[in-house]
Amino acid sequence: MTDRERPPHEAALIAGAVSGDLDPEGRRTYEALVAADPSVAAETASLREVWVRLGRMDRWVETDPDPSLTARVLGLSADDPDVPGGSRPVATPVALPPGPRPRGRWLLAAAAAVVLLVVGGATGTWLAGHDDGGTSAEPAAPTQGPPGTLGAVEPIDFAGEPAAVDIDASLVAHTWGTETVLDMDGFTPGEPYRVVLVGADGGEEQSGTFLGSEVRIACRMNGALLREDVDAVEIRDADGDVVATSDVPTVTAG
Amino acid sequence: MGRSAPATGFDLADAWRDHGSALLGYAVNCLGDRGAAEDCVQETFLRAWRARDRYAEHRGSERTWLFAIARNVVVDAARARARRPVPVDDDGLRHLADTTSEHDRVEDRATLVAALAQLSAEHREVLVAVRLEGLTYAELAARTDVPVATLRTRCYHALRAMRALVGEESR
Repeated sequence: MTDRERPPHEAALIAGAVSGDLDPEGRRTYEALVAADPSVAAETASLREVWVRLGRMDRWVETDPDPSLTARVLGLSADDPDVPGGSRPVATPVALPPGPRPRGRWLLAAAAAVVLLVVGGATGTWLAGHDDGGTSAEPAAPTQGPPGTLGAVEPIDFAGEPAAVDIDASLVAHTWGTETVLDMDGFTPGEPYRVVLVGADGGEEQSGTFLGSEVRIACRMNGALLREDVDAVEIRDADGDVVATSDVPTVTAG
Repeated sequence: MGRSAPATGFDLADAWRDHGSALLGYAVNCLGDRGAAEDCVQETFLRAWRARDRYAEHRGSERTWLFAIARNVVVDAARARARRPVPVDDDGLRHLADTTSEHDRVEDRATLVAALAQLSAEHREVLVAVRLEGLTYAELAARTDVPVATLRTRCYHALRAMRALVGEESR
């Protein structure tokens, strides 16, 4: 249906009629408008259908992308093997098994939440490849500095993991959050795991997910929590149970 | 943006800047789960990137194309959720409980949410406040310091835009 453009006062009257928000004087003005222009009634009825249909919704949540999602999306082209310079495989989201989880649920395990690189033994070639603009496939000289130094690789230790699990990990502070670099083995093949940044205030920020593999795994996770606000890094299983924890050093003001 | 700007005319960075927020709003409000929504948005852009050669053949706008991809991703995700047991103590899934019974309801909701997501912020604000939150125009005017007549005019144009978008989705 195509309606002609209407002057603002007619538009306002029609909206008032659609939403049932006209006072008696507005109602009389609207009825006079309908009498003068029958298309007003037809348009009111048409928009009323939209109004009624809209009532099936219960709420609307305004939201904006956070830096970690921006990094994930903008990294897609760099991860495409068809593009020069992009040779890393991008894992597709996989369905996770249902089950109780402590905070929300994972619908899709974003194995692509960060680029997941499975390598057969040789790892660590990425560790120098980042700058403060985000992760990068281009090797560069590693930045040095104390915990919290932007772009510096900060080795961290995990504790509590099963004997079969081996984890080498580092953090990299960025302006947009914290990157967790993992090189690990011994996680149950095919089982989903989640990496969570835990803030000093107890808040949590999802950093990414991965599937256990029969071969050694190297991957990077991005979380929208600044390094100075990170108190611990946890790896959790599909039930939300903590598999390994790293209590990371406190960043001192520098 | 050399790496994200192939000859097809689809530029990943530009598309993300122009449509990322609207697509995330769409996914969040369809699924009621921020994490799942983010995964769907990433999957949408991944599919768009991989199909970028076909974008040149698409006759609609870039936003229409991306929303069509997102609709497939989000509706699949919503249906998958609807098939699962829903714990009553999970706020996100309680929100989804309204959509678990029929595929038609999932589709209908996806259509409405996509249309709302594509409205301008001003147009969406008035529809959400008056229709979904139940405010009067006078109450919204007090909240926003925008005259009632202006809000009504915005509502009119928002409804016209919604009607066009819902019709577009239904085709």
